[in-house]
Amino acid sequence: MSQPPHDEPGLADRVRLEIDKLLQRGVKGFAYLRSDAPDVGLTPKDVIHARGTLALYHYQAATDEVYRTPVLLVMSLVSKPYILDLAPGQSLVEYLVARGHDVYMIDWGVPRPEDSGLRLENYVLDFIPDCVERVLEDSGEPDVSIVGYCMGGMLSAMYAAAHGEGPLRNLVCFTTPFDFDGMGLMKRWSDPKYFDVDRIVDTLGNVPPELLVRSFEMMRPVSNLAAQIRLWDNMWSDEFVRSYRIFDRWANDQIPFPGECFRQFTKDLQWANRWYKRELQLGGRRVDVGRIKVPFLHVMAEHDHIVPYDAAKELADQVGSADKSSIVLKGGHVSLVAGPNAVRRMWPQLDTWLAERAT
Amino acid sequence: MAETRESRKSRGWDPLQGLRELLDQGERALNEVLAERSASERRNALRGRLSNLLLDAQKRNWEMWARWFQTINLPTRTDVIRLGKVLTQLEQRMSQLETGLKAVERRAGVAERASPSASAPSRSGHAPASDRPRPARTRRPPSRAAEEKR
Repeated sequence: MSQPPHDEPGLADRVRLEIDKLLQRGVKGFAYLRSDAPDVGLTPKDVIHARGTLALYHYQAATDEVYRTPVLLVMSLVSKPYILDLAPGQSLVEYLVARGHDVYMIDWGVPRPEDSGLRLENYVLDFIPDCVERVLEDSGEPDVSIVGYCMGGMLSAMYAAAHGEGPLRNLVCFTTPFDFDGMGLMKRWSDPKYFDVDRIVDTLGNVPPELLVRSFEMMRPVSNLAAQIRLWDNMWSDEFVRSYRIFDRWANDQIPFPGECFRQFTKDLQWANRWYKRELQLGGRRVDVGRIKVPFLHVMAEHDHIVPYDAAKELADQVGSADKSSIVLKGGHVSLVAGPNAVRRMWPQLDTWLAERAT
Repeated sequence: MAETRESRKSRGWDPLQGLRELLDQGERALNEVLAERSASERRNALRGRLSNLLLDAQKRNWEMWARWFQTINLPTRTDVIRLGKVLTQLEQRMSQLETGLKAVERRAGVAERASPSASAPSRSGHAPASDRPRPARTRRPPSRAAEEKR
């Protein structure tokens, strides 16, 4: 027997609903102001290695069997890694662990003033190889898959390019910049005629996180205000408010950019575009993307305002692997890896791609 | 994070829907215009000058405090950073020693330990570093597992 059609609410019902929402906005808005920020990064983990501010996590398995090849997540230098482990049900790490992957993650920590001398060489030729060694030692396996997000993807790809014969089995990059001429506003703001990177680094050491947060905000100058209006509109919805708070916390929780690394990033990558032109040298070693021969996947976001599609699209084409692919998914820089869209779109594709290459 | 148009439609008639759509469109249009203006030659030049001004002020401020701290015989910012660097080097040295000790311990322990069940089988034959029981590394992707069953 068919169900009777569901009637749309009439005017009286709608008015009642709106009044109810208005009351809830008031009550929940008050609770919102009084409550603490939500907890993040809750997937159980052990710290298996620490070095300076760096910590290498190993997430505890949630299945009886795991895939043979461990997965190492590499985060960006300027963002906290908990975007990949936001909250139960909204955590890429939790998802991968539940799907039988053995997951590790590099947390770069918050650079201290004395870390201002760190350069790309330190990350690509020392920290990542060191962490890879620790993962191999801890897992007892001869190879590892690396998944890098944003600048973490760039560091991972540089590592792969510099260690052609290394223990890397698969490489996945999320929204990873490659052609810095496609960086849009970021590129234009750092015009060498007016942007004195030497003065910034020589004076401040590390680049303060406020500068980075303001830069990201300037890319969408009205979005903060619009987000506040949407928050008020949806204050009656616990799910919306919880999600808003988690993302807002992360977006404002950026970390300083190590000074020398920022100088190198600006001069060699933003201005000279050496990574794209295959002219980048790190520690006397040419870091050529064509030397990456392992299976490669690049996931990009259609509406990414931080790493625009134009800056990311050519990476897969230039990688020297035979097994390589790139996917463009709906969403932005953050919603690609976290949030309802990521759960529906990206995570299952990542799981399938890794699983087929992890035995 | 915002609701999708489909989910809004499914909830039926909504008097505030028009305002929400206006907000979406206004946000997109204003973002585009303002962001574009922020990258003009004139704005870049202005931002550059302002940034240099602030950096110079910051530098002078730190120099002034450094002189004051030196006068009253307290460590300056530079001294604290230098001390931090020494501590970092010490940390690294300790970490290296710790790693070396663990390796020695493991080598010594491998012969004595007779509990192969504590570690899962691995292709390389190395035992995992941690003593926590690990799951077997034998999982197959669902597609391949189904093929093998057939």
